[in-house]
Amino acid sequence: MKRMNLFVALFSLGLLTACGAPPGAPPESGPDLTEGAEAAAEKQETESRQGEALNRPDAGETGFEGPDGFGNETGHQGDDFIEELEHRVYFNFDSALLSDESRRVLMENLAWLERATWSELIIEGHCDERGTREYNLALGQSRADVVKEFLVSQGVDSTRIRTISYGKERPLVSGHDEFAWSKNRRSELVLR
Amino acid sequence: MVSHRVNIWSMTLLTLWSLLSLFSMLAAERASAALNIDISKGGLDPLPIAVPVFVDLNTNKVSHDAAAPGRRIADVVMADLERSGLFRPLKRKSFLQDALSLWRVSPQYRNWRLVGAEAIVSGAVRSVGDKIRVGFLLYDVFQGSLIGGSGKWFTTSEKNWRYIAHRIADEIYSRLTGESGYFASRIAFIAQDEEGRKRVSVMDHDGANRVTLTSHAKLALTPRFSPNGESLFYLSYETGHPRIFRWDLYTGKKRQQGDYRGLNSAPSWSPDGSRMAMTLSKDGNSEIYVKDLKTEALKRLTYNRVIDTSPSWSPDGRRIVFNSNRGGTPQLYIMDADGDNPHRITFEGRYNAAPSWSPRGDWIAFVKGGGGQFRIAVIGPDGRNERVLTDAWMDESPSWSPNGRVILFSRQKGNRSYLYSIDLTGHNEKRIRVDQKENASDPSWSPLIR
Repeated sequence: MKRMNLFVALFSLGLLTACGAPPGAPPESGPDLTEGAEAAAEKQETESRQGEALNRPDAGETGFEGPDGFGNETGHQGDDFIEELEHRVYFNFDSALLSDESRRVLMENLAWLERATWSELIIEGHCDERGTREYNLALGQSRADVVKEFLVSQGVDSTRIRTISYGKERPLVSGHDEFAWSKNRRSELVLR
Repeated sequence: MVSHRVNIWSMTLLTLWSLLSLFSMLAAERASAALNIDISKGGLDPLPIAVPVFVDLNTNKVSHDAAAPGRRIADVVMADLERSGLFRPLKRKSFLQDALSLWRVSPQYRNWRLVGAEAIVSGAVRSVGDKIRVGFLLYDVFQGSLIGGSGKWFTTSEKNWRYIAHRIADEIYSRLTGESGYFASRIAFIAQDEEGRKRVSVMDHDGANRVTLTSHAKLALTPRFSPNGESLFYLSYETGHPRIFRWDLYTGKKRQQGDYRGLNSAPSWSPDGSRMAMTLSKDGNSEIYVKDLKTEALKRLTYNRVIDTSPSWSPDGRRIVFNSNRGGTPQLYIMDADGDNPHRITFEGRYNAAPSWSPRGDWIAFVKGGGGQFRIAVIGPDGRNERVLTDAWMDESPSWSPNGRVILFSRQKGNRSYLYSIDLTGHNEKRIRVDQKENASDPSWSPLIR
């Protein structure tokens, strides 16, 4: 009887920890997400306290551009993979927290940024069509800012980054269902 | 035998006399009660009112020609009254008294009672050069007298004839409800054309005299009227970033209002016109600031790591209601105009946003999300008496009429967007027509034009 209770207790505990946040719940409810964001923020704070922002050189050292003549374009095996890389990350409703998946995508985009030639990186923040105009402008700004923060923490020069919120004005996908909405809650990386 | 006959006769007389006095008592009660519409009650029967064509004093005739000033002005008055939902204008062809004798002599009250009118508007127009002089009188049919003591004359240049008609409609509304009207006002909104361009547009409250701010800009949002109705703040991306601009309607001048780093948004005029509240993200995240429009001094009002936006001033300029998710979800808060004493006022639901403080100070309109819908609601500034007014999927951008009794808002249906209005009582929801092919959103109601 006691073992049964213990089993039930452990099982329930397992269920509880396995459940993700219900849709629409405040972002703070996922422990992993909160820790990740805090870690990234802490890292950035440390760097700014030291007064130095790392500037990764934008050519040559990573080996994607080499004396073999392959540039940023076709022909290199790595580029097949890069072609599929989305230059955007997605968010939950009413949230500007980066998921683990988003962070992974951004890390891959760092490599893309290193290879590309650009003078300015524009990070756009977008929302789905629900909610009010002004709140969504602010939320879009938060989404752009959080991506900038991450990239800067990984060494991208903050003076070359501009953020701009489009609120809910520029959906990527038209439609009035969760599929469309989930595609529109995003930050985009645009190079100039 | 004699007594028997007398008894029947006196019984009959008594009955007749009782009936007569009862009838006249009732009639007297009705006649002695002044006509009054209580607009705080919703769902009233609209008041039947007669608005004959106005007399042309230059010819001493009444012309029903659609272009005649007497006809045009009376039609605009009639349309305003009907649109309010409080009046039912009667058909002119049923009238038993002609407009000329009504104006020159007086109402034949019995004839107006016969067509079911409870109030009559009598009016006249005289052209003097390029100016017109318009007068009106308002009568109570059952009382058989003038309402409001006397009539009124208005003089303006002929091209402003609509404005005079709206002023007259406001007078009529005011005399019958005890409240000030809202017909002499303008609506600013965002018009999206078929190419998807969003631009600021301004029109009379009934849709006439429409002007669109054209520029190379493709995306403009959230226009807001100044307290004197002569300027608009709005958001535009024409410089490549969201920035606040000002459009002075009578001069046509357009000026950028600041160039702060990051998001510049949500402009809102203080009621005395001296300051602008807005949302800036320049200090790390969206916060509310107040800028003195003369000195350009900027004061930060909110300090936290979350979104604070959509500031709206109380009519006395002492407090600001705004939208913040400092509690975890977007909710409404009120703070003093210097940022002190912020306190939350909405506690039901997970999404309460876009607040707009009524010019009367008694209600705050806002957008309430829940159950997959976003609806227009009102709440007292003390956080009590919350009431949801609409029932659709995506309603937003509430804006108050100058008399604080009607709310304009924007409704999205599929890919289309429309302007609607609804009374504070929750009744009389109606769509406001603009161009068929356009999407209309982000309405802002001007103060009364004086």
